[in-house]
Amino acid sequence: MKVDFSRYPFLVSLNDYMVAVHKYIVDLDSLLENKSIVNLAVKRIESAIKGRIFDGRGLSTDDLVISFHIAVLLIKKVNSRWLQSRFANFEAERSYRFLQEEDQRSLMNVLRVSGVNVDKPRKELRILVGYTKGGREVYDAYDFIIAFQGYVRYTRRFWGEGKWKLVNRLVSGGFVYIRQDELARLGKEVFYVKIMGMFDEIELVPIQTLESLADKVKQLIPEKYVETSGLGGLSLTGKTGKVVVEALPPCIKRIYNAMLKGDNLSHHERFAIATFLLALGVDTEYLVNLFRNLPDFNEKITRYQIEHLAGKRGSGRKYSPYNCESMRSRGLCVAECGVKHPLTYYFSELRKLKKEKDREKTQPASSETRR
Amino acid sequence: MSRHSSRDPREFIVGKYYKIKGGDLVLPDDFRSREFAFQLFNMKSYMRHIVFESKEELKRWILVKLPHSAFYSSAIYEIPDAPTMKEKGWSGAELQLDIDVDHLIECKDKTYNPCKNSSVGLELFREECLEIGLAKAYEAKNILEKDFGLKYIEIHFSGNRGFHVLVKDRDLLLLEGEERRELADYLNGTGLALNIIIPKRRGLISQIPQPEEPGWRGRLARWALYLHRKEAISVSFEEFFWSNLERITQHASIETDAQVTIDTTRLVRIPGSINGKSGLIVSEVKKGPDEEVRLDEFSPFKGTLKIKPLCNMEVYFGGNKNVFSKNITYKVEGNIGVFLLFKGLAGLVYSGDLIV
Ligand code: SF4
Repeated sequence: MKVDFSRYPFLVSLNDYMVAVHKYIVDLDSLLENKSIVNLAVKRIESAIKGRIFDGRGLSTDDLVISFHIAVLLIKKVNSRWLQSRFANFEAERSYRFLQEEDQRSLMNVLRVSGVNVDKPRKELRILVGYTKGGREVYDAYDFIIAFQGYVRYTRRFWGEGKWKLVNRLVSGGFVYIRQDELARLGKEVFYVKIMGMFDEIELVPIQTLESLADKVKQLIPEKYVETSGLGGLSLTGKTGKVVVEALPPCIKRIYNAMLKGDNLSHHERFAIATFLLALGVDTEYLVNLFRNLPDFNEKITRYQIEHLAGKRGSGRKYSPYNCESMRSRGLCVAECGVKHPLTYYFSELRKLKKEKDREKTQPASSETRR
Repeated sequence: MSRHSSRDPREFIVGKYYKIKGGDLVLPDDFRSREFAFQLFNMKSYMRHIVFESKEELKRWILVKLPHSAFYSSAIYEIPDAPTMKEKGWSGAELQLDIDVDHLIECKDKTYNPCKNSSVGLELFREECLEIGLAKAYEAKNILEKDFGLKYIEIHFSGNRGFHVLVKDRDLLLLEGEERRELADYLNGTGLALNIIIPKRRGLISQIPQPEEPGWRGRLARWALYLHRKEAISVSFEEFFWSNLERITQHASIETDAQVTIDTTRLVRIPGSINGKSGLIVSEVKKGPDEEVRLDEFSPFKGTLKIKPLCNMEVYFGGNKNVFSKNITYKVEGNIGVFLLFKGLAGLVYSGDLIV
């Protein structure tokens, strides 16, 4: 059974698609020369940035598949984590709309091609949940089963919602029972992860046109999401300037990375990272955006809590970050850094990095520029 | 012993054990891809990042170092002796559940301080707790088999406070920490929402779950049936179910330590090795869930040991309550003698008659 790639363009690589449909290997240079398809790719990115689902009605499968892949290349080149996630989100949303309309067979097919181990149970599961006042039996029916490994992999951002937690599911023989609408919802997450994975996997070839196009895309990103590259990597902007990720102590870095991945954090973890970053002077806005990745994110509550920690609400008391001992007793310490407070680690690391940088600067210019 | 006066007397006993049983250490087939780690007596930190090419090499090493505790990693690495995680190349980890018997609700009233009126403080548990813990371990194994379709599950006595359930199925190896937490939560009932699994809807008279249903619905129904029968209460099953739901849930929960399960770089005590916290042997449990288990079964020591207790105490060991007075020299059986010595409850007087 074939998958409609115009709906799910991430399920085929550009090369495979070109070979299968046009019998030739893709020539990226000439594709990038094709104004109309490049424009389409940029439009696709623009939609995502503006928070709209790209509307591809009336376009050919070729247009849709190729423009998607060119958009991915451009975004990879731009190298903004925010844009990657934004694009993946809205493209997944677009495909999700189609997925919801598929019949059971093609729904299952799309998910299988996406790498999800999904099946129909040998016998449909019907759970008798109760009776109406008139004595009629009421059943809940489950049409599909999905291997539990895939289930926990793709539902991690939903765990904040009780009904998605494994403990509240019907599980048997290694499979989780799931309803059709839930399966489609899970599919959307699979798509998101797949598209994000493409950014990690693809390798860029140096093409001049790509560079200039990427510059154009960069202009489209709203100011506040532009990541400044501080000491050679991703840095965060805060009130007092930058938070340098490389200098974060191992304990905070772990939480930070888990957050970017969309892991569900414990209460203590949230407290630890929020108070730590607040102590470095980041603003509420920045923290809210970081927490946005969490599965149970709720903007209003998050904002309130952060302002509370920052001492802008309630008693006006500002909460200070845990010291190493408190981190340890909560199981959050992951190394022996020889310091008493994670902040100490950060600042001494920062000094080290600065020194290294200065040293680089004062060294003779590289042979290339000297000629 | 006098020659090694700088050595801890416990090292001598450890040496005695490994000289005879050092070949009995049970290693996984892929032990060359595991990191080994050891804790030595009177040393806080671990020796880590060690690899062995053969069992003989391991035995030789152990006979030289006489370790307090011996471990291999639950994780499989490309380069197990590399010093950092990054360089090691993590390529999967077995799943581990940890059941500490003294933390179980059913065992709460069965822990005790062996020292009477003394500043020497220590918490031990009565041997009944082992049965309670083992039953939990079997329950976990059962659920992992039935609900998750897993097949290669071992139950190990940790040598001290409880049981480890080790799941070796290959298709679990790559689960990430947070995904493993979902499994632990499933076993423990953490985050269980009764209003989700037994929905109450408007205009609906809720039906209680049936024992053959999957997931927590079935688990609750089975436990309810069991408790209803056991307590022989005259109320109807249905009434019993609704009015005891919380208690039923508690019984049906496993109570494993989730922190252990989510750790994908955990150390596993080597079966057949001695646990330096107790002088007992880490071992795979072959007994069934309803059989009696006692601490002395896990001691390899016979013969006698002369010891001097450090407090007036009562210790439950080998099915008996053993009473000792402070500072009197006793000649006791090897198994309990070593236990008291390793627990720090007694000093050693003479170990020449100890046999393995
Ligand atoms: S020692 Fe302190 S700074 Fe280092 S990981 Fe532990 S808590 Fe963090």
